[in-house]
Amino acid sequence: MATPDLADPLVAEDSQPRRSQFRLFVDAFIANRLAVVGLVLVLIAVFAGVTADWIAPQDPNAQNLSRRLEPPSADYLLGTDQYGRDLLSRILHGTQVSLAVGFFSIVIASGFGVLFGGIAGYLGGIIDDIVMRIMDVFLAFPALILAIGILAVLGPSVGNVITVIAVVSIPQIARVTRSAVLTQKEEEYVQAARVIGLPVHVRLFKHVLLNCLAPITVQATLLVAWAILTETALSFLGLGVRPPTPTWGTILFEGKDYILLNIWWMSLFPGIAIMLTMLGLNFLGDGLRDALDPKVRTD
Amino acid sequence: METLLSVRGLTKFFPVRRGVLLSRVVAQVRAVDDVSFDLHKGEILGLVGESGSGKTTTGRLIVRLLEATAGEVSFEGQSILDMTETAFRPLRRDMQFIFQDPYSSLNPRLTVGHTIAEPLRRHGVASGIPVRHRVQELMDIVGLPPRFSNRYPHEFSGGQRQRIGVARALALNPKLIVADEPVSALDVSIQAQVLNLLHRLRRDFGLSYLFIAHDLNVVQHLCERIAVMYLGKLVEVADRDALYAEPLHPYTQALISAIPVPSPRARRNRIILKGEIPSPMNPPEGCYFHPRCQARMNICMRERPRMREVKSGHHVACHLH
Repeated sequence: MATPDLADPLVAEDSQPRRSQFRLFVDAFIANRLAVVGLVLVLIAVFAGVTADWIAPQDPNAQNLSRRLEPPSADYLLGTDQYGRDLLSRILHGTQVSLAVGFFSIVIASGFGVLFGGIAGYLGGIIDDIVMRIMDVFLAFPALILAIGILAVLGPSVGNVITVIAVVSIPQIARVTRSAVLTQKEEEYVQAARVIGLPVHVRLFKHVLLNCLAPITVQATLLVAWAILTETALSFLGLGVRPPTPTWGTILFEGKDYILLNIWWMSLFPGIAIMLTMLGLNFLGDGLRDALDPKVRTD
Repeated sequence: METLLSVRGLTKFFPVRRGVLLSRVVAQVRAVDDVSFDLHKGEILGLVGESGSGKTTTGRLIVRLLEATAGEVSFEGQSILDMTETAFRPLRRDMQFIFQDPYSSLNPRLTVGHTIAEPLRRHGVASGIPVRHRVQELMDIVGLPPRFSNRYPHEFSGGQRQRIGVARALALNPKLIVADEPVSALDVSIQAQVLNLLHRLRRDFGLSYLFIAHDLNVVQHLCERIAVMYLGKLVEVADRDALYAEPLHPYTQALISAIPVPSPRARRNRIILKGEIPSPMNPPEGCYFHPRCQARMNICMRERPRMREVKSGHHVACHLH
């Protein structure tokens, strides 16, 4: 009869169900209550945006001039605006545009930012100087002012808003990527990748950047919140999405003229939608940062 | 004996820069300064010295993890330092490296099987199913259960990780392995296991090692020849037995006298070195060791001693000999 080999730690360890890195991450994330709240808020917003065409009670652009500026009622759950359009339907459809702008602009910014920051950080020297000084020039302008400037030239449209927000976000992602790459490239596994003969692009993209995903993900999540807010601000200023397309910013923009007439619902409800989504994305970003940090979670 | 690796006048200076925008070089750190030695086929050459003596830098220069300032390294008669990185890449198959820190030398996001398979795929040694077989075989060779190949590094202990590092180095069937203090980060009980593994692999696969260490006990256990470094320079190269029985350089004598003897009654003449290792940015005139040397003569302060073969196979750089 075989005796169990208790002296071998490998055998003892194997009898327990093992936990993968992903499992550890999920456990740490779920243990953080605020992070889960954030995730739920973001998921609600995404759900509302994706299903707006079906769940919105009315056409967001259908005007009913006999029922203008009505307060919330059974017919219009969140009231109507100055053209008698249903606010609930407009906010739901606005979710679509606002989230799309936030998401796509940051996806584009992440692509370029990771590329620039990664190359600058890994190659160093003069390339680093040139790339990062260009990024510094962009960072030196307040992002919103820069966005307004570029949009004034390009003209307002959804595509241009996405482009502009992406451009002004690239330096943020590039900085975070570069600093993460600088710490990772000193690790011996990068040297090991060189010793086995991997060329520089494989070392950078497979080995170094794979280990920089945590800070980049966190930064990108927080930037999505910022991008949505910026889209709102640009639309509010009349530089973003053109009416009648509803976005949170344009609804707010239209509502501001009526606040003094005590017509509060046109401003309050899109404001709440913005606030909850911002809160959700920020909680989610913080939660991701903590859950992805191996020093915080316990093995 | 056939020479596998020949190092001649290997030198590495690190520039020290001042200034942010238009920086200029204000000093040079002489990390490795005119080092020459040969490594024979199938031998284990120990390279010892204290922290900052340049032994790790020497190892990294040889596998071109760093670019040398001057000097020549030839591997099987082929000069490798002036090759382009692309031209050198096929030669990397023959020269592998084992890293000091098993916690940092494995990519934490890749499974160990992936890490071991990477050199195989890169050099087209194997692909597809044969890669998996080879990985399992390699894990078996270094004493790890092959079924753990889809685990991540954080699930292993330090000793196990170092075995993974050994398996990766072994994957390409190299001729030379430069081992940079491969056991200094491990517990003493685990050190012996890994050293025995390295010893067995040498026998089974006809490997040669350049074994970098600061622990003279470890070196005595494993190496046939030993080279002693001080402040970027080689001071003595000799066969192990000759070096331990009759160290010629005063620095080697001090090092060997510092090895603890496992007996409470043993009487020892310990040579206590005075002072600290000088800054490699500003090394002393003459012999680099003279400020700490107990046998210092006048000439030592003026003239740098050259490496001489004073007995067969016993080289020393000291004015005493």
